[in-house]
Amino acid sequence: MSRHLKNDLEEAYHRLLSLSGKVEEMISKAIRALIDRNSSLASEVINLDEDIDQIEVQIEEECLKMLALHQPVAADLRRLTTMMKINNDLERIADLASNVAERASDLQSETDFPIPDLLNDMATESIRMVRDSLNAFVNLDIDLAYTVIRSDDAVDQMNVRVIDELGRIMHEKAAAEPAISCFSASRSIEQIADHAVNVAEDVIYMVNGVIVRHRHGGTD
Amino acid sequence: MKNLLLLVAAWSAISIALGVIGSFELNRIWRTQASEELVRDAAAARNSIDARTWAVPAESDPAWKRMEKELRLAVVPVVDAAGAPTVGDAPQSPPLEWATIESEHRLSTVVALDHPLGMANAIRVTRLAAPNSAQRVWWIAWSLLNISAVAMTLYGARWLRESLNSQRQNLQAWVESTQSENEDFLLADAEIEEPSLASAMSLIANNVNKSHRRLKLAKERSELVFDNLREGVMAVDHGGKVLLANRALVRLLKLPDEDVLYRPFLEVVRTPAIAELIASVLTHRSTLEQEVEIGTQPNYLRVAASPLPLGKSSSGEARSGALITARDETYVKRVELIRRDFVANASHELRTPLAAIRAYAETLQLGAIEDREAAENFIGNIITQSDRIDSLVQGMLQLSRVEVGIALDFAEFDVLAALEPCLAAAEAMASTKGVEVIKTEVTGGVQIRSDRDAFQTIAGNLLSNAVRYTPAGGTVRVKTSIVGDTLRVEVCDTGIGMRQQDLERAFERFYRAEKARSSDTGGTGLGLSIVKHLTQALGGTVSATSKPHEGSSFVIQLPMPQPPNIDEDPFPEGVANPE
Repeated sequence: MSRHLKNDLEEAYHRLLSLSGKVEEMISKAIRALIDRNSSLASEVINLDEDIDQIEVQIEEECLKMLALHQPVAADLRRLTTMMKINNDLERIADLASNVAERASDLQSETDFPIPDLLNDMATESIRMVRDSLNAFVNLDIDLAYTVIRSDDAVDQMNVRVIDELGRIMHEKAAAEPAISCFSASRSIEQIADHAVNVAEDVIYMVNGVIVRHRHGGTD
Repeated sequence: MKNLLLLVAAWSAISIALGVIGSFELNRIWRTQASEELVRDAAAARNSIDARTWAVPAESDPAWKRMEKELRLAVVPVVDAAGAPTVGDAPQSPPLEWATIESEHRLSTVVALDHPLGMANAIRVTRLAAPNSAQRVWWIAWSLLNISAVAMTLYGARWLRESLNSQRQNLQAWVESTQSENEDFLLADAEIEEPSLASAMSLIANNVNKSHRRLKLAKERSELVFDNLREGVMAVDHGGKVLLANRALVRLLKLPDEDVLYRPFLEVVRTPAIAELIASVLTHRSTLEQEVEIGTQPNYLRVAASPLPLGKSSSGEARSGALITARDETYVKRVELIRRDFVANASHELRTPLAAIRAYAETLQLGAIEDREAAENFIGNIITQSDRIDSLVQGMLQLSRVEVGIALDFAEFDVLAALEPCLAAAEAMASTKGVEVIKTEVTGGVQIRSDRDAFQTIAGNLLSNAVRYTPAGGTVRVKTSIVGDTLRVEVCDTGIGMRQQDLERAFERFYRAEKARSSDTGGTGLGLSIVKHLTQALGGTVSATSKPHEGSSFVIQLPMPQPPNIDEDPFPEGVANPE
């Protein structure tokens, strides 16, 4: 590959890594804001989302420029397209985290409402999945990517149980609004996990050249 | 070695050259000599023939026979059969030619006679071409020289080959050892037959092995220290590539278990705050220190980054990387938070009753004092609130006393007897709420050696908590038992319970789950903190479990010294005599 392509790829790669760090931090803060009902943390996260959007657009523009200028092929092309897709997924994850933060500020005043413990566990698992999928990207670790893909079922199940419990609480305490906020937060967390799975699948494509999406039945 | 070969080669060349040149020269001299003598003989013969008169035919003359024998004389016609003259033009330089006469190689010449002899008028004179003795010696010497030269060459070559072979054999073993996977990667062979080359290499091998071992030892030592630091340390070069990172750093930053050497730091450390710190130090070469939050708990790290001088680049400018250290300050931070909370809570707790007292007093001042019933009511409230302040202050004092470490008074007392007043108070409180207090115990008469007041405070606090947080219709169970050499006191309730994260912080000062319920149920928020410190001061432990909406359970374990068993043999067999 030409030297210019190499330099440009490295630069875009570093920007993407920097973005991924910020997004990971955002999710952690959003969850903490929800559980601890910390409103300042919540508004911090919501403000961060704007920055993330801008960075995402920059990275995408850089990647498109590279495609036009250097016309990479084979492994370079896979790497570039994977970076674009991960960039996109990270921006979606940031939006979802921002959503969780907004729900956190909704629940700010409802200090009596018991947020299910399972939600915390679900969030921890989702954060772990995001971090592992990015580690898999950085280290080109396919086994780790497959582990992330397999973890999604557990998160989905936890989501179902959280919804059940929220339904029960709504019934018992007639607290509809906070329960709905919680439900929305839970869904956002589950979607974050789904996007982590997307990132893992993209990594597998980048390394193997094989698209494993929609084929999870036989990936063991 | 090479010199010898050169010498031998030169020797051979010179001798051959000498031989060839010498031969030619001698040949020439000899020929010249022979031809001169022949010319002389021919002239002499002609003169002597011309000087006398010969009989006819001349061959019958005895003098002729003598001359013929000496000079191999022959009379030849001046012009031969073909018509060519047999005599040369100039009488001074007669034609000389080699010819084979009577199977002898002879130099011959033909001279013309001034007085023709019979029909012929020329004579042929010949001379034998035989090398003289000088020549023979020379030829023998030359041959010997050449043979000796060749022999010496052959011998020299063989000697050289043998010596090279033996050197190669000595080094063969050495070469094989460098290809094997030894600890000392060069083999030092003590038994070298051939000195110089191989033994020099053996010496080198020894030295290299020694330095190698020393280096490895030094490296292992520094690695040991480095990897066992509690602080995380990472070094980054001027290009942003990780030079080293110790185990503590991997643990603190929760990095994956991959090799990080020479990878760009952005790949390894994705935390934005730390990445920005490193980038800043690399560009501005400044020293920075910052507190960084990691993870979801979160953990707090104090990260310091300073420039790392890395020598000079090829163009002469100083290169600088970054050295990063990270220290886990989570505990310190948490203590800070607790302290802050404590101060805030304490002032808040005190302010509320104070405000109430002031309000009541003001109201009385404004005229409520005239209304007897209202005045009595208000004064009652003022007293209640002051009691509240009092118990709060008492609690804080007690706590600080316990934390400082008051003198405990250890004495033997009966557990049940000590528990009685606490149980009575709890039952009184419970009955007003509709809560039942049940006690289950093991056998009575359990004695323990401890501080009675402290024990009662502990039990009292646990019981009042249990009753306070249990709604009407619930039960509070008290159980005492002996497990091994500890006294176990359990207080369980069927109350509202608490979440896992509240349980973890339950023993903190002023911590109450669901902060909104601060003054609803009464209580200072200090009870469990006091329980924890007192229990620890008594040498015991306290633990709690809880399930939201189902209840909580608190367990105190206090050490009970075992009474000595008189029947036991103090020296079981085999202990005193270890044979």
